[in-house]
Parts: sequence; structure tokens; C-alpha cells
Amino acid sequence: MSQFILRRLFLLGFVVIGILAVTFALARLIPGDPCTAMLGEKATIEKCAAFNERFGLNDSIPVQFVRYVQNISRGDFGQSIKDSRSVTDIIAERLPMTVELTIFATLISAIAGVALGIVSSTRQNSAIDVAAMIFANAGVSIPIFWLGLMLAYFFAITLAGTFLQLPPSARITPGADLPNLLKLWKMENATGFSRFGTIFLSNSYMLNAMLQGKWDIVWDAFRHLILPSVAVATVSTSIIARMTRGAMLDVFTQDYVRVARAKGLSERIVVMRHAFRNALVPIVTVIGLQFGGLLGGAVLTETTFGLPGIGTKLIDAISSRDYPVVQAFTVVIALLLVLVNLIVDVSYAYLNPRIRVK
Amino acid sequence: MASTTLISHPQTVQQPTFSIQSPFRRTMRRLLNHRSAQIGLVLLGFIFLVALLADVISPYTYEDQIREGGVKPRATPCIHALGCEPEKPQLWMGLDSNRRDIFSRVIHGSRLSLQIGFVTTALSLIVGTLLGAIAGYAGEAIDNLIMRIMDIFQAFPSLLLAIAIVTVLGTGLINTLLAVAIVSIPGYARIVRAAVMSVKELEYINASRALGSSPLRILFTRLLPNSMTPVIIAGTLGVAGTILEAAGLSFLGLGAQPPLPEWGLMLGEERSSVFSAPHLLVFPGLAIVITVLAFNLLGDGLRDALDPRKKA
Repeated sequence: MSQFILRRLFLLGFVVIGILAVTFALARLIPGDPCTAMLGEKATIEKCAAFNERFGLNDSIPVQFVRYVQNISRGDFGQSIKDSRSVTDIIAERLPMTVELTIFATLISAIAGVALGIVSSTRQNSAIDVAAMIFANAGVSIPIFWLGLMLAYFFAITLAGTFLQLPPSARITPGADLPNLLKLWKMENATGFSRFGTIFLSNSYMLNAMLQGKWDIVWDAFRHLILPSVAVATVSTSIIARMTRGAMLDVFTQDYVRVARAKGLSERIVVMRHAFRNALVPIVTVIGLQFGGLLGGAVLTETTFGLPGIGTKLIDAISSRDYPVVQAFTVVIALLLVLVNLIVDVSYAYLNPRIRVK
Repeated sequence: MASTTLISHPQTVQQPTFSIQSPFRRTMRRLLNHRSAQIGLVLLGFIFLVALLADVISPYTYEDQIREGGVKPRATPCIHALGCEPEKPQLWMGLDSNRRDIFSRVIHGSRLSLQIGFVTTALSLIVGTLLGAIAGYAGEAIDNLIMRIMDIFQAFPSLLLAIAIVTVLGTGLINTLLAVAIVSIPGYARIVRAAVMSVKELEYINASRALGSSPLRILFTRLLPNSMTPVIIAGTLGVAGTILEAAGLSFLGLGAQPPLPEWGLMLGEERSSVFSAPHLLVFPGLAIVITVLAFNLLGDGLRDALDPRKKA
């Protein structure tokens, strides 16, 4: 097992270098020289000379790339041009929103998708099965940014006044009071990981509210997260449901399932312990593969619901040509995805010994 | 008359009917008998018709600003048959914030979305097929080089990579097409590579090589035609995916630019009206759903029809 993980980590190194190379290259491919592209109208010859000097743009490309990699490995993503502050701080502020949304969406799609798939497979061709598969087909065809808008209208306007009413936008109800942990813990001058972690925690609204013991705010933040998470999860729920159904139907034809039934085991135990466990490998794989799509979906859905995450900041940064922010966000999301894929790989090597040996 | 012919050619009698059918006809028969393919084809036929006849069906152009009958921007739908006052213009889906007829815009949008879907998919399919075929056929170092590059591209969430590429190229419909196409290449390359690698081991490839065919000839006349099945399926589903992705980019303001009637852009422009005038958002969204659903259903049908393991 440890050898398997080591081999995966070795391969991972190449992919990470590749990701950095692509994002580095993309920044170089922006038409025009970097100085005018980034400073825009403010670019004068003197300013550009200073700019090139400051960012080491006069060095050769390999030297620049090595420095880029070094900076990122130190957690230094440079300065935002628009806000003149550290991009790392901006990431720490914005990432919690996107991570919360993605985690919730993953949970929803995994639970709902697997449940739907199992129910469909045990009642093949029944009304429930047909309905679930129609849902699965529609689910992959709905643009989630539109679904988000429709959900917002339905749960905020149509259901207004009922107990099902849900907030249609924003992260928490305006005026809800959560402290900035950097100030609260007197860590304004902290650097490095402790700074990143504190800002991150401070902006993880639910965790921060829990730390303060403000359970009403935890509940409020949770309610604000429901509609966006459901919107993001729809596509993955459909895919996971179809995959689970297919994998379960495959397993049901196996001899050991017939043996289990012949032994007189209850249907529940046959389905959950004999069939489902053996169908888990493709299911875990497909759940893991959804993560990239969910992250992309989070970017779209944040815009729909006006949530302060990576997605909304990214669009903002693109329109203000704040390239360091765009570049950093792209790197961070890609690295996050690589990390999750590694966890998925390791977890199904754990589930299926044959993969380890190969 | 018929019986005499049969007697004079006894072998035609012994031929069972299913083996006479060409693979193409067999696939078509299976496809037409497949429930979701039927629905998909009907929907697609409808969408194509709408796109072809857009100028005939739609009462206005997609840019016309309507002022007759004292209608206001964001007017709700007005259908005479349902009791709307006859002096007001008939508005099937209402007006948007710029007084433009949403019905006409949704109809004209079908042209854009179909073009986006087909052009993008064709682009990425061609490049992906070539890369995958070369990787699968050449093997070893070249295979490794191509596929590791594909790995890196697949390490990014596709929408995010598309956004990054649009940032570099600049916003606009053409650049969005390119970005979405680039992002889809690795998927096709992977599929073609796998297909080519399995076909490569078959005996008729050896036979072809023994006859002295050049590698390029083997690749283009033997390997690729016999590796096309998964590509056709992936391509059909791919059209659905690219339409969604391009609509997403337009929704974010990075794709098609006003005043184009791109459905994603229409949603993006009016998204703040969701609570005051939801009809502005219902119809363009439904149009996307129907179009994407049509391609997805057809793709599912094709997958079943082309799967040799499934008996019709």
C-alpha cells in the first residue's frame, strides 16, 4: 500500500509541474507585453521599466519559471494589481466559500445519487426506476446557473411565508455579526501558514460561528448554503445515480449474490452487504471524478447566488485584468483537484486490493 | 413468380434475414427502435427546423425594440388567444429589459447554440482524434508525451481552464468556441487512443502491414475507421456538453457579447430580474434544457445501438 502511494506521489509531481507550466505559459501568452497588459492605461515607459525590474521580467524564461515555482511553493502568489494586496490573503478569504459549497454539493450528490441508484436497481423497470432515470437524464441537461435562478425564485418567492422558505442569495443574513479572527486573536502581523489558516477559518462562516458559539448564525449560514449546493449537486447526482444503478445491476448477476439469496439472507443484507460493497469501486471512482465538475459548478453558482467565493472574485479579476489573481486562482483550484484525485485513487486502492498489486 | 426465383437461387432462401442487413442499417434500426433515441431525434428535428426557419417563425428580429401598443420593457407575455387585449402586440414570451421580443430571441438563439455545439465539437474531435490515434498507434515515447500533456490539461476543472483560456484570448463568441474546444480535446484523445490500441492488435492490421501498407495508410484506412464507434457516441454527448459549457461562459459574460441572442448570455444579462420578472429567465433556460437533452438522449440511444454486446 505505501509503495502504491509513493508511486502515485511521484506521478503527482509531474502533473503539478505541468499545471504550473500551463498557468505560467498562459500568463505569458496574454497579448502585448505583461506590463501594458497588467497596468493598462497607467503604463508609461518608466513605470514599465520599474515593473519589469520588480517582477524580474527581464530575466530569461526558464529563470522566471523557476522563480515562479519557488514562490508558489512558499505560498507566495504575488500581489493583486487592483487591490494592491497579497493574493494569498485573497485566496484565504475566498476559498472557504467555494470549499464549503463543493463539500456540501459532494455530500448531497453522493448520498442522493447512491440512494437513487440503489433503489432503482432493486426495483428495475418499476415506476420508481423509470422516474429516477428520467430525472438522471434531465439532471445532466440542465444548466446549473439557470436551475439556481429557478430554485431561488421558487423557494424565496413561491414558498414565501411557509417553513420551506429559503434565502435566495448572499452567504448569511446581512448584519449577522462574525468577528475577524485575525483581529480577535491579535494576529494581524502573522505570516505564512498561521495567517492563511486564520483568515481561512475566519471566512469559513459556519466554522467561525461555531467557534463563537453562535448557533443561530451557524443555522443561518447553513440555510443560505442549501439552494446553491442543491443546484451544484444536480449534475453529479444524476451521474452518480446512473453509475450506481449500472454497477448494482452488474453485481446482481454474479453467482455470490445468488448464493447469498439461496442461503436465505434477507434482501436488505444481500443488497447492502453483498451487492453494494462490491459495486463500490466504480461508484467511488465516479464520485471522485465529479469533484472537478463540482468545483467548476461552484464557480458558476456563486455568480447566480451572489456568494463571495473564488468564482465571483475570478470573474471580477478577469474584468479588471487582474492577471495575478486569475493565475493564482487557476493554480489553486487545479492543485485542489489533483489532491482530491489522489485521495480517490488511494481510497479505491484500499477498497480493491487488485489495484494495489498492478 | 417469386417462388420460381427462390427455387432458381436456393442460397438466398437459406440466408437468415439479419445477416443481410449492413451494419449501418442494423444500427439505424436499433436506433430508431430505442425509446430515448426516438425522443432525442424528434426534439432535434424540431430544433433544427426552428433554427432553419428562424426568420420565418419569429415575428421580429432579435434586435428589434418594440414600442407599439404602449408596451413597457420587461412586459409579461401577451397571447391574444388567451385573452390578452388585441390592441397590444402578441408577445409569446414577453419583452426583455431592452424591449426586445424574447420569443424571437430564443428562436434565433437556436442557430447560435447549434453552431456552437457542432463547430466546437468538430474542432476538438478532429484534433483529439488525431492526437489519440498517433499516441495509440505510435506507442512508447510519443504515446507517453502526448498522454502526459493530456493528463495536465485534464488536471484542471474544464470550466476553469476554459475561463483561463478566454482570459488570455479575450472575451467573445469565437474565443469561447476555441476555449471550449481546447478543453474537450483530451477526452476525445483518450477515447480514440484506447480504441486504436485495441484495434491495433487485430489480425487484419498485421495482414495490412504484411502487404506493405505504409503506417499512415494503416492509420487512416484501417485503424481510424474501425475505432470510430466510441468517438461517434462521445461526439454526440460532447455537443450537449459544449452547448452547456459555452452557455455557462456566456452567462458569466465571457462568451457571446450583446446584442447576440445567445441563451446563456440572455440569462446572464437578466439574472437580476429573477424576482421581479421571472419570465425573462424561464424561456432561454428551457431552450437550453431541451437542446442539451435532445443530444444527450440521442447519445444514449447511439451507445446502446452501437454496442455489439446488446442484442436488439
